Amino acid sequence: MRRRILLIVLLGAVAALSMLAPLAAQEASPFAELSVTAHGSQRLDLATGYTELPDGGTVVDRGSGVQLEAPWLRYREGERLEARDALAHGPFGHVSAPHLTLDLAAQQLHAEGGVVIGTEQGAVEADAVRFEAGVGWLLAYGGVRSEVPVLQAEAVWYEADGGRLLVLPPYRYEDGPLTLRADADGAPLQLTPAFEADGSLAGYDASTDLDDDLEARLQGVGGG
Amino acid sequence: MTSAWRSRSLAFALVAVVWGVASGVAWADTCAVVPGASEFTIEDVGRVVFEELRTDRAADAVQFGGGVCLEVAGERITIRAERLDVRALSTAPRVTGTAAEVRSGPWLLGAEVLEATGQRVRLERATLVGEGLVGLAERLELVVTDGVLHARRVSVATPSLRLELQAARFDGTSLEGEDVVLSTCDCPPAEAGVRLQGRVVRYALVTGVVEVEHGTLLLETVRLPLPPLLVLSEALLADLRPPLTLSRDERRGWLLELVERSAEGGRLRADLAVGDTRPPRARAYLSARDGPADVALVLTSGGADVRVGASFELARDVELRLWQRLAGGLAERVQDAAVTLSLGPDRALAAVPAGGFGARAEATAALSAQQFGNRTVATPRVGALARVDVASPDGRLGVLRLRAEAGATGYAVVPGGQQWLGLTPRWDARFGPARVTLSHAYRAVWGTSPFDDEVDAIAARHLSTLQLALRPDGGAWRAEAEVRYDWRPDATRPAPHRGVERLRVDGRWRLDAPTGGAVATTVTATVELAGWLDPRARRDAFARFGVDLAWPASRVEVGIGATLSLLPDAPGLRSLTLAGSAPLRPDGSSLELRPYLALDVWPALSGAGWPTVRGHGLGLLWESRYGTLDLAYRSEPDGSVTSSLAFRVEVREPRLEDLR
Repeated sequence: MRRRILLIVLLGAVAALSMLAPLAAQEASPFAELSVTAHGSQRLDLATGYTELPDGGTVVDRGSGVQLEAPWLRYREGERLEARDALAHGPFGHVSAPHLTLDLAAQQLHAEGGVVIGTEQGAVEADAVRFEAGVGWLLAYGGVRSEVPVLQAEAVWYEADGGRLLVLPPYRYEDGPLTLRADADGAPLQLTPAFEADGSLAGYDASTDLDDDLEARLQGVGGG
Repeated sequence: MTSAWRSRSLAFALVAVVWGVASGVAWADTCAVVPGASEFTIEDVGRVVFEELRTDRAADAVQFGGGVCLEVAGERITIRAERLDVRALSTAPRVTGTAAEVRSGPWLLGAEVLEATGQRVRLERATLVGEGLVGLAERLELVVTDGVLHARRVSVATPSLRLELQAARFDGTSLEGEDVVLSTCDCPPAEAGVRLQGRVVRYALVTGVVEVEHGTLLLETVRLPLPPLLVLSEALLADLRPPLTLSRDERRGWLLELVERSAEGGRLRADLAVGDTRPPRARAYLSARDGPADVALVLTSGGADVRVGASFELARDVELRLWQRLAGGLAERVQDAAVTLSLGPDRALAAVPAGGFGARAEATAALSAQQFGNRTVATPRVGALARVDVASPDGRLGVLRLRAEAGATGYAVVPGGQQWLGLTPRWDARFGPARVTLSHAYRAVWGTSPFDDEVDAIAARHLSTLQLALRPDGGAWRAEAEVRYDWRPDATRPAPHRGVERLRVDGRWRLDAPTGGAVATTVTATVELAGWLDPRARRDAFARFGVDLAWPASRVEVGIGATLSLLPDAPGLRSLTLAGSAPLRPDGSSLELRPYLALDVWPALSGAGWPTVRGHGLGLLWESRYGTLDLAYRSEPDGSVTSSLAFRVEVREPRLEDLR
């Protein structure tokens, strides 16, 4: 059961991270029927309580089709999972991170060491990602570069449910004939997805006047 | 323009200024990103620095707030407003805003409503501030490519003028407008009692020169048409040529002269001799020219003189002139109908350039009649003249010029005829501050004319002239000397070689008051010795000395002068003159009078009688809301007369508040 919860959180975070690309309208399917397949041996360290998969393994959610694969991972049931060079596939594309940590107690996921999120629209790169599972916010920070929307920022907050982005300065944002730039003292920028009649993503509306709920939730999470 | 929107313009201008100071956007010619601000670039429009932004993809719009600065055309035009909206963002971006401020080149513009594209910036109910000029316009359009402003229904204030125009064009150096009313009054021009209306006006921002085309001068309800092109400048107004002048003529005494010139080449001159009963007491001279034809009419109390002529240039420097003169007077009458063929330019010897050469020949045929009392002379006549001028190159010793001439006249039905030969050498030289002119005019004449010099009589000449002048550049003093000696035989001379016409030395030393100083001093001295060496009638010998003190700040002047007779038969002090002038202005009056009086007190001191008036004058200064009129005349004890008319416009710092 704990393994299942862990993987739900992990894959939910990865899915949210991928939403930096325009996939906001997608409803994340509930994770179910998770299975872990070790590529080799499994060792239980009684001193620490960690179960280590030194040869790596694959975690699959049969309901959503999300698949996580890492050459090395370990976990302590109900508390923490760590993976190296993790690669996740799913409807959002794929995500790779050299170091990935899931803190179940804090309901946080950390991916660092140069995270790449690949989507149909393009790639998002960041030095690190932190997912606040409790409030549904994901923070990509450190040299965030996005192909869609065309964005360079120091940090970007992403709202998993609505698809809104909060870009923290300094940043550079391009949208057709427009180029928006702010230095470290500039105002945060809210990007709200706009959709065509057929439901496809038309682009983003930008505003420095943040939505109240977004600002409140942001304040609650912390400035990042 | 209504006062309501003027008030709103003021309010918006104030808001713009206050906002500019208070907002986070830097108040500079370029949009600087300051803490708290971000920047945005719109293709085809420019760069925006702002604090707040909201885009609306569905409306294809973006809204900037919190203090916005937009750069258009690079950094040449900056627009600042509390808020700016951009519409048609992805197709043809159009920026709109309110209470906006625009900087472009020398202009600072304000607007209640602004609309801008990458090509034009349109402002409604706009203010305009430049170097030495402010304005209000119902509508302004700034062309981005050249920075030229086009305005509709605009009021403008300059340091010396107020203008209202239906349309105007401002570039960086000048204003050109249509349907203008302008005045020097510090009031709305349309309300000024004295104002100019014109179809076209041009105003040069740097020089302040104003040109008005097809203008009308309005004096309250009186309308006076102006020349097709009227040029006004501060310098011209300060040095007006008065139409009425007072002068002193040796023969006719005081003359009150009216001179008027029209743009078409016409000229009117009229004078009235005051205090002299000899004719002509009054005289009017009118002349006009139209193409080759000219006409001149002289009307005097003694008769009329009409001259009509036409000149035709047959070739370069070859002219055929037909002319007729009819002069009818109480004393004599002249009728002269003539044709003259001339070759070469007619110019004075001093005008022949150094190293130059000139020649002129004339041939005249005329039918002339002249009445001398009851005797009348009438005859066809002919005359011929040839003249050659030559000048040496300008060397260390100056320029030597020489004129040689010969001529002859002949008559058909009366005896007589004149022949003459003339030679005039002239030497002009300059040695440092000294200038020397020495000339001798010699003309030998044989025969007589039945007419006098009103028609063709030629008189002999044998006159030497020496002129010396010392005028150091920028010096405070100058000295001049002139000697004229007439060598012609004269039975009234006491000796054959005593023909001194003039031997005069003039000196003047002026010590200006230093800046902020109290008094300026002028010392003058004149010595005339002609009457001492050649004591014939009409020659004088005297020495005149004077000291004048002037206090520029208070415009008070005092002077003392003495004239000493040097005539052998009447030596001694001739006059002792005390002169003074002081401004008189009643408290609160805009009118100032500056009377001048010079009294010869020597008769009183010597017991010969009362002091006599040797000089007088009056200056009138009238300060009005249109400017200051300064009108003055002065007759000095030395016989010189000056008159002046000046109009000075008060230089005001143009302010928008004055236009509202």
